[in-house]
Amino acid sequence: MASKITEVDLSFLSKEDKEENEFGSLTSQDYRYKTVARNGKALPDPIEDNPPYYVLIITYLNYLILIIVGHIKDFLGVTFRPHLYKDLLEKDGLAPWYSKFESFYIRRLKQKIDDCFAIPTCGVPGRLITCIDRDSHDYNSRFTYPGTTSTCLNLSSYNYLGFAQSEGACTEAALKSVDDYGVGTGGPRNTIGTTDLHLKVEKTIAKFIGNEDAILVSMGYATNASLFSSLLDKKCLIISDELNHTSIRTGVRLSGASVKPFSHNNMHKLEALLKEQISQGQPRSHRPWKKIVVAVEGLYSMEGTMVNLPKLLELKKKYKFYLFVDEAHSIGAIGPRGRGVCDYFGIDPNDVDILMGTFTKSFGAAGGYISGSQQLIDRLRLDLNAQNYSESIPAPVLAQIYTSTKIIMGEINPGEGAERLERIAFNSRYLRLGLQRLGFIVFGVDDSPVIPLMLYTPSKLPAFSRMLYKRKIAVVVVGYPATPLPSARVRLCVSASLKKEDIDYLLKHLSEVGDKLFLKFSSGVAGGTLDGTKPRWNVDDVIRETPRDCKDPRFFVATALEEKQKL
Amino acid sequence: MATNITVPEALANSARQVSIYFHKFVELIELIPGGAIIIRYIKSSHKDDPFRTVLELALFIFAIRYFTTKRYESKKKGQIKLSEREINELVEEWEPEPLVLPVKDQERWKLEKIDIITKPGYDSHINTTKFPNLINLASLNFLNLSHHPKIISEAKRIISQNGVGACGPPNFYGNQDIHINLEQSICEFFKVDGCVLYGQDFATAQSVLPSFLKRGDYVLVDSKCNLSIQKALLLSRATVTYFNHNDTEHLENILTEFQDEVFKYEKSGEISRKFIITEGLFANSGDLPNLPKLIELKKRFKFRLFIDESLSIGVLGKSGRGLTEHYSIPITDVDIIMGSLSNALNGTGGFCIGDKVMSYHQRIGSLAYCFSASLPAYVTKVASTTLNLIDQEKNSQGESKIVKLLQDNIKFIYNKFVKDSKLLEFIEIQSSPESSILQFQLSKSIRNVFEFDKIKYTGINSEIGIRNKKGQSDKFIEKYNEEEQILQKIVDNCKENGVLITKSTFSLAQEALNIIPTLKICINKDLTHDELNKSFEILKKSILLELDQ
Repeated sequence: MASKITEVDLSFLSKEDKEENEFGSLTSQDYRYKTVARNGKALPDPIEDNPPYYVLIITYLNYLILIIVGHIKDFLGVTFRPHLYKDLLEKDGLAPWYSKFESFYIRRLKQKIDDCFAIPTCGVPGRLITCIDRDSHDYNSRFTYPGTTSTCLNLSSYNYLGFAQSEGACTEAALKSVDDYGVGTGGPRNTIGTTDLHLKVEKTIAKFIGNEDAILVSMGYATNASLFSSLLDKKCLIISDELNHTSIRTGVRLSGASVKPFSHNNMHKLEALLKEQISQGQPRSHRPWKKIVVAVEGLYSMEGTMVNLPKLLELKKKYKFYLFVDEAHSIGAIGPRGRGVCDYFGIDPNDVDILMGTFTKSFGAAGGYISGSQQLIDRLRLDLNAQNYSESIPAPVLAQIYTSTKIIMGEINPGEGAERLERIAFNSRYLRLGLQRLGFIVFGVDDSPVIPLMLYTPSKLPAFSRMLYKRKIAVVVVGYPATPLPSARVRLCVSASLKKEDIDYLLKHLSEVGDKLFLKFSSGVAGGTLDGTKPRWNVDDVIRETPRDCKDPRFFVATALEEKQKL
Repeated sequence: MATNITVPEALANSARQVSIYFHKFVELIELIPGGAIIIRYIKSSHKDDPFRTVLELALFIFAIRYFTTKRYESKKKGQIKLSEREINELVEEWEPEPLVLPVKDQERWKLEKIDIITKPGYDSHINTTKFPNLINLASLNFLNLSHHPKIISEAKRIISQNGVGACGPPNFYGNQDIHINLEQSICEFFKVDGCVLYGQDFATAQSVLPSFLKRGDYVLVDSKCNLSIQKALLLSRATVTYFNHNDTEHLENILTEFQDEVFKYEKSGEISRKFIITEGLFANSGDLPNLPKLIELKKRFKFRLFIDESLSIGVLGKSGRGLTEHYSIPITDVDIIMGSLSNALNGTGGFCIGDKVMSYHQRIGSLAYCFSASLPAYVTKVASTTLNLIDQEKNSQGESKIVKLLQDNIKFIYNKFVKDSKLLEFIEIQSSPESSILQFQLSKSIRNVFEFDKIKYTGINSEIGIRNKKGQSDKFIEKYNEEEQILQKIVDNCKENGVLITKSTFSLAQEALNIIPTLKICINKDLTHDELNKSFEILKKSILLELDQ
């Protein structure tokens, strides 16, 4: 039993197997769906399904027991066996790295299920992902590695368009760039880190999104973290969706601007807040705000919900704020041409002031971009601290970004980009409708490739993850503090690289696990049925009917209601 | 005389009814576990002092009212009451400032002067779109291993095995065997217990420090620290005190003061976390801190020490292990060290090393680690290969051959500059003799002639500081622009003669500490003495041409 991981040798795979493991071949032309743009139409109000009350009571009870037992153990442990708790106690006059209270949640709740997180992997995180098996000891305080691996169906990586590959045009381009430019970068963009490749990629990205110019940053998180300091100061206001990503919150805090949150995607509350803030001005002095920025995400990665862009632009016209949209998860994955939420809603991207996105997800690369007007980008080139202090993106990553963007645009390997876009749209809709019909509660909009399946009770997190791992399916389970306390969930990230048969397999196993863990408690209001009964389909029926039905908006409740209202 | 008072029948009835209901209610409460005790308490207290019952009832009602109304009132506090019509008028009236100010004509040169590299050469030469084959004195890649055949072949092998991106954060299937291997090799290289990787070096300190510094903790920071550390402190909410740059005496005074006035009164078991923060090789000036003294102070005053070694790893110490090796101090004496994978180690990203407990906490508490995707796999392989290369060619004294080459070059060019008294009339060297980035600013007399010393650009009571305080959007400073232009002319002149050097670049409006622009000469190990000689002559000529008038 090794206590350390050595590099896993995967060279025994034949080229064909490797290709198929990374990106499954399309088995029938029926398994494609072209997303319909909404032509400026706003989203209908979301319908949220609530679990029965006893589920919520069990959930709270579950936390209560964990917390009480944890505190009793802490008390007894510190009193009687202090040598085991020395990390929590003062040592040689130095305070502990973290306090007992700060780390309570981690020690008493998270560590118990640590075997579900940070599972080491190897090879390409494509359609299948190879996980390195590990044995847990002493309640996950250490792991050993028996040296075996499990190849699992991958519903965990943000590989929306399936560009996580080690074969094909992108990889060839990346390999060539290593020869041409080397591996390092040499320094920040404004001193020596700008190559002609950077400019070429920036132009391509700007063209892809439909803006005047774009700027690249070497890390997605840092893009947001450094952006707002260059735009805002303490006399500015930022209104931020309460579920915005940590990177946005970090960036906003660094800028020193005032922050007001509004409830997730709630446009009425946003309007009320805007009215109040514009009329009242800055606190105490009541001087008008210099500028107001509204920050939202295109696709919320934990909820699967989408920003209501048309409605937001309506408000923007009236209230004259600047709009920032983080497209980290939506760029590439959403819209008939894969160009993000603007494309999906059929809106001119120049109506949005700042579009930000990352290359980690749909493009299979790393880093982030900001795109917008020439005036904005010129200013950022001088002032953005990522330009002045941090390393630029290295050439192989640029080559990957460039080639994958060109593929999506249909300029390299025509037809391949369209296939990827249509496959992710089909896969997302198929899995979503399938889960709804089986009786699971899932959140989000119809076309979202992120499908959160609700578990609620924290003890179901490890059970679900372990059971699926045994069935060779890799999923991400998330609970508090990444989600609100009662709504622990599993997040399924659909990829274009999955085959229809993979989703059949997934549905079969999810259905079984769902029965065992008592997860099918949807009431049907948010989808799955058309007659208002509780959807509890048989899994064989789901697999037979859904691939056809999922292309029909009638079967998705929110859209169906919208259609009805139109008539 | 007694008189019979007849109570109206209806009133008596209703009173009876109320009393029946009241008794039923009391009985109901008694059914609840513990209810009987409460009832007994209320009864006896009422018997002893009826007024108390009234008082407690009033208190109870007040408490309910207080808790139900508090939120509403605090929210609206300080707001002016406006009618719907007034609000609409105000909304219509309000005109925001532009999102960003357009780049002014006077500063547009900065955009145009950004060099565009077309082909980084295999030796220490580099090509830009305007000038071919420049001697490279600009790259932070000090060991110049970016084109080493071993590194190229490893990078290619990993790209064709793992692809480029990792497609997920480390906690969610983004942690590949290669990432874990790099963490292990960094641990072995530095002989520490824990290592955590980050996606960008600038984001590393910004994320590590706030995960350990909360409200009520104390930090003492060198007043020349880089922007990343300044940002980290903004996020941390700790009590921040700056000590004069590399002035351990000043630091000691502050420490003593704190000891006498604050720390003495801390109860055992409730002490705060305390950090001293400095850099291994200062990004803004290129000098080293006095580590032995810092270690002594930190031990004496029970502080922890954080060092940003982004630039010093691979440069300082006989085998490139940074500041601690340079001073022959055990690395475990420093509590947190952060380094960059992007400078000497050829990749992108950063890392943070220290003991096991600290590293474990970062994996949950450090935001840029938890909420950001892992590095591309090939980058981590390149970094671990570089570490191997550094160690491969060690001699019997433990000196790494390639690091030695770099250090010889540094010494060579530094001596040229220090010995040239003519040149030193115009420039003032900021960096230490060991620094791989030779930094110098315009000399005091020159800055006086141009009146650059009349104005403080950033820091306390500076031009930017005042504008930030007032909330002015325009951050353009005429004098700063002028000074930068002079440096740029020297850079341009060097380029025309075949040498690429750089000058400092700042996001001026965000810098909270005092800065003065500098010229930077970055040394790498593959420069020959001939090239260095030639570069020196060209640089000298350019400086004299620009300033000797």
